[in-house]
Amino acid sequence: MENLNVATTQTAETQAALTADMAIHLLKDGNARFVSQQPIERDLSAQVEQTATGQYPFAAVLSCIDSRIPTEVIFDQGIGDIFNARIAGNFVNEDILGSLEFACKLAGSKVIVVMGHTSCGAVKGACDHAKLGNLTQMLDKIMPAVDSVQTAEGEARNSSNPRFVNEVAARNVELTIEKIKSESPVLNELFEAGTINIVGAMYDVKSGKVSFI
Amino acid sequence: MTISEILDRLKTGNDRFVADQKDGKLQDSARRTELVSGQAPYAIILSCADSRVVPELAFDTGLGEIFVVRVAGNVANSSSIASIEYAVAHCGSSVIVVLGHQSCGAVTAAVAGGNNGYNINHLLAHIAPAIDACGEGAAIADVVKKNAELTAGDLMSRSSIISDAVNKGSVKIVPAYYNLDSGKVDFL
Repeated sequence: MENLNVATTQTAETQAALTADMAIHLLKDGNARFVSQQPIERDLSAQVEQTATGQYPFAAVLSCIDSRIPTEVIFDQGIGDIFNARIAGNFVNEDILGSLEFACKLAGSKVIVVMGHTSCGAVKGACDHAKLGNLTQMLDKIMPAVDSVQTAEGEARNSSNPRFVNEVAARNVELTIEKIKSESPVLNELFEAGTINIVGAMYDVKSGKVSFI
Repeated sequence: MTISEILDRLKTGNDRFVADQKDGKLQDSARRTELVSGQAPYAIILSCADSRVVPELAFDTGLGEIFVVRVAGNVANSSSIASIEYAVAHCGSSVIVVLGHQSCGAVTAAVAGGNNGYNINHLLAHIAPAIDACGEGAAIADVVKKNAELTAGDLMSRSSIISDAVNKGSVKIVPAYYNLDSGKVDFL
């Protein structure tokens, strides 16, 4: 596992040499560098040139649109490293599943990380049963997570309760992983064959730390 | 920031990225602390999931500056539109960039046609109007640009939250094209 922290641009060869576990390791190391404010020096222009004719990302991340969570920054990765689908509330629909299938089946990503986060606006909206335009339909996708999180008697089941909000976000990650497996035969087959792994994670907007779950 | 100041900010950030002179600002723990209680990003980027098109790197932005919606082919569906509505209605973002890119795999696959399975077929169907508008034998780059323009139109026609804000002048939608070989963003 040496040299994993060197800023290399992924090629067909480096991607083929990585396992799902190594890909997760790369993301964990990168997040530790972000938290400690010691990002790797990267020659981004060189990476742009090196990847102009093809991409060999080692990971696919499904995360939220939140402006506080730029995926490549919080994992300290460069150009061509992460195939990234982002939608408010990091759930899946056909097009997101299609994007993830593209990432793994065609572009060769080794792991799918479904990443929720603390203080998620979309999750708060779902907890509050907010209704507005297309948002109503979108928030419905998060309702199964809202409904399945238990609260103590008298404990608020809305956005005023950070514990509830963050539990729902974590539960939403778990349910989204189940949905990926049940609604994408392509990805489920890759997962069952051990070609890819599918894991969950939560990003803490305060500490900057990603916890894999 | 006004709309033209935001566009200038994105353009100068992209110039820094192309010149490999990123300032890397607003990415530290002090910035995280500032943003714990909330965010007020000035722009939303609807971009592709391609690993080479990273809006925060390409525009040299830090934490809390831009919302980023990413789906292969940067298509508008009810969820990506809802994500953008959230940014417009709740966070005051005032520029929406629909960012297509050179050699987009989704556009290339849509042009090639064939059966790619239920989910990818569903995704690629969003790109069909751009292919039709460009005509047979069109260059991929032209289909990508047309797709960005038509997607910008979809945001208007499928969302009264977005179209009301645009008609009022408080939001602007800009299609753009990212060059994979240079890192340069061309605003269309």
